[in-house]
Amino acid sequence: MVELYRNEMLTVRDVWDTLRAQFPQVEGFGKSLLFCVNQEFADLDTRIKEGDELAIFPPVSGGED
Amino acid sequence: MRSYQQMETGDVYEIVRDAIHLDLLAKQLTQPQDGATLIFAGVVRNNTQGRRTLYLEYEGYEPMALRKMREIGETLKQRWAVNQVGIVHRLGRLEIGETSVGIVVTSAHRRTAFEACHFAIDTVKKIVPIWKKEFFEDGEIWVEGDFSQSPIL
Repeated sequence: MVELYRNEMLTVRDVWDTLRAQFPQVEGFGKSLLFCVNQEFADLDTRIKEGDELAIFPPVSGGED
Repeated sequence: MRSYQQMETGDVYEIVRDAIHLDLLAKQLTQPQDGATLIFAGVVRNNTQGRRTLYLEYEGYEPMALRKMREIGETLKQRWAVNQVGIVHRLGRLEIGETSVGIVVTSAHRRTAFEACHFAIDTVKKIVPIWKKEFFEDGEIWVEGDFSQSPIL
């Protein structure tokens, strides 16, 4: 769990940077991560507010070829 | 055997943990005005590039996965003259030959159904947050999707 206290607007990037600082092992996933806010695809500049749901995951691989 | 939960529009979007019954789904979705019921089954293959697969495990970010499955169905109905759509994805451990994803598209004409169903499975693999872990005789790996594909419809 990470806690962020800011007065100005938060973005996905702020949370991601905090996560990376606290859990350096996530760096291994590199650039191939997807970010979602409230179950919609987002990017590092997407703004987030209190209560939003942020999900970070690798490219999806469901279904079958 | 259970039946699939149809939305108000008649379409079906489900995430299940047991066998997918495509015959049942197809029967439920097909209506008198349909001339084609296209059924796609994605099944677990026994190898990846020659390496023998024992079984697979699927995990998902379920609320978003369902939402994206519905979004794909809605896109299908906007872009093609399809009547009903059913998308069912299974999670958990699956054995070789079992169906991991089932898609049913009904339409008055076959060409429409083929095109729409093709788009549906390609898009499921791109935007629905479900991942598979492949178990081999000598190890296991999470299969990572193709990042070059944009996750936007």
